[in-house]
Amino acid sequence: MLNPDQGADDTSSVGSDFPPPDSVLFESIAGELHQSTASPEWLDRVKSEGGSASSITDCLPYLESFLPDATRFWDHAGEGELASDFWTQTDASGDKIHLLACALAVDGKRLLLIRSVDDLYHESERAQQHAHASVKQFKLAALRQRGLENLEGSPKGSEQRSIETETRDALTGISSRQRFDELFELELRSANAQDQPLSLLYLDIDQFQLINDKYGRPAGDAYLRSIGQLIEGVLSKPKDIAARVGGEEFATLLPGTDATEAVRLAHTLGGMIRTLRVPDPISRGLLSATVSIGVFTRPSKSEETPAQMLGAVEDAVREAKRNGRDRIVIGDHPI
Amino acid sequence: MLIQKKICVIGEFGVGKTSLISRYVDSIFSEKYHTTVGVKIDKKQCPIGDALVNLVIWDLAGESHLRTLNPAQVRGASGFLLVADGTRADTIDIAIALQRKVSEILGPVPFIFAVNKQDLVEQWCVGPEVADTLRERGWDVRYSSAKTGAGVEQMFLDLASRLIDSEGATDAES
Repeated sequence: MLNPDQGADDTSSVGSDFPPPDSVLFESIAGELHQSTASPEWLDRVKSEGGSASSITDCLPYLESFLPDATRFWDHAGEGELASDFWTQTDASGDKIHLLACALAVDGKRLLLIRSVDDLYHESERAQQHAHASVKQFKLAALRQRGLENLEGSPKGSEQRSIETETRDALTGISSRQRFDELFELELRSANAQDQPLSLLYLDIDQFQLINDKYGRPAGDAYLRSIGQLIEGVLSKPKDIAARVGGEEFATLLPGTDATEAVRLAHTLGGMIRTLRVPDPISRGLLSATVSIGVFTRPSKSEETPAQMLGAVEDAVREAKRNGRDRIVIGDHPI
Repeated sequence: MLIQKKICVIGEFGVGKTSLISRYVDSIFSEKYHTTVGVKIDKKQCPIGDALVNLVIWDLAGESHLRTLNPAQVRGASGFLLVADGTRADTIDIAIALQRKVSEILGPVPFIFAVNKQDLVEQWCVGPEVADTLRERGWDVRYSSAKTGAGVEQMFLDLASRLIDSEGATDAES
């Protein structure tokens, strides 16, 4: 129940430490919230929208999801605070109010501070919009790449698709670019949820065009098939992913693999590709090449996006090419 | 009789969740893209038979690499609206994964799957076979456009109606 009187004496001094007038402080006593400071203007607007509602969760329904977490925090924490997610609701006139709650444990008191946070919200909104735009651009680029491949190779007709199709690259049989992009998103979320590192290798066959020029396209295709099989054969964990992401470009996504292990795997792949010899039945020659590899490891609890990770390994591969090819370069973490 | 029901609107970022809610609650549509940070909560009363249902609509920020579904925000919902963007095939896969996650949290509650942006149907990369496959799995698949309003109100009303039906079924079982 909203009760502006109870609990006010002891906590009003705590409340006065917070910047008025956009915040309101509650104290949780025996599982009930008692309002300890005067209502800010936004709370009056919310209350009037709720009509005669007397429960704080009627006025602020988001608290239904936050109070269980807050209670666990109060039950187990010493001093400190637990911030909620942002939430937005509308007042009686339909205007949006952006709010943030914070559970505090101060001198054994269970306090709940709720603030109106328009500026902070809009800042986060801008950052999120930017991130979403980057992901969309990345996905669009991937779509265009696939379109080019379809034009160059065997046309697949329309872009219409069923749910579980287009997961395999038609030439090499390993994961397609589209499948790689989808799994990248999912594995990134999984890495965040489980506090695991996520490593990415980007492999670009050096001077592949020379193979096509010298031996012809069918021979080049056979070589790429061998590379795909080689990479997939080297990966050892069930969740490791090998994909063909461009003409002669391959990527491996390594969930739960740290930087040391990722570099070790890059050296293994580099060595195996260097020594690979693929016979060409027509010319009776042996096709061989080297590879430039970019490596990036996203440690646990970090925030790099798929676009940033791919940007880092692509930059690393470019640096490897500039420095003479047939080498491994560790990608820089974005600033 | 006034019955309050919480529903969640879930899907990948940018599929039009907030726009569908704005169209239903306020009858408006904005071309400008506003991303939702955290949760946005709206209320709308709708008459279902003899009852008046107060829908409390939780618009959860879209799934992305920045954030993932928070089970605490889903709990307590009586049903959900799952949204994908017909112009982005990957949003269908995400929606399918989300449906599994949400069903693990809420159990077998009613939901409707909205393939949104029907006004851009010429740009769709989702064929009718996708809807057919999902309908074979028992999904209620709808096409909607927050921009034109096509299919939007009916979708919310049907979901509210199914919440009431399912409440009656639960009462009868208990």
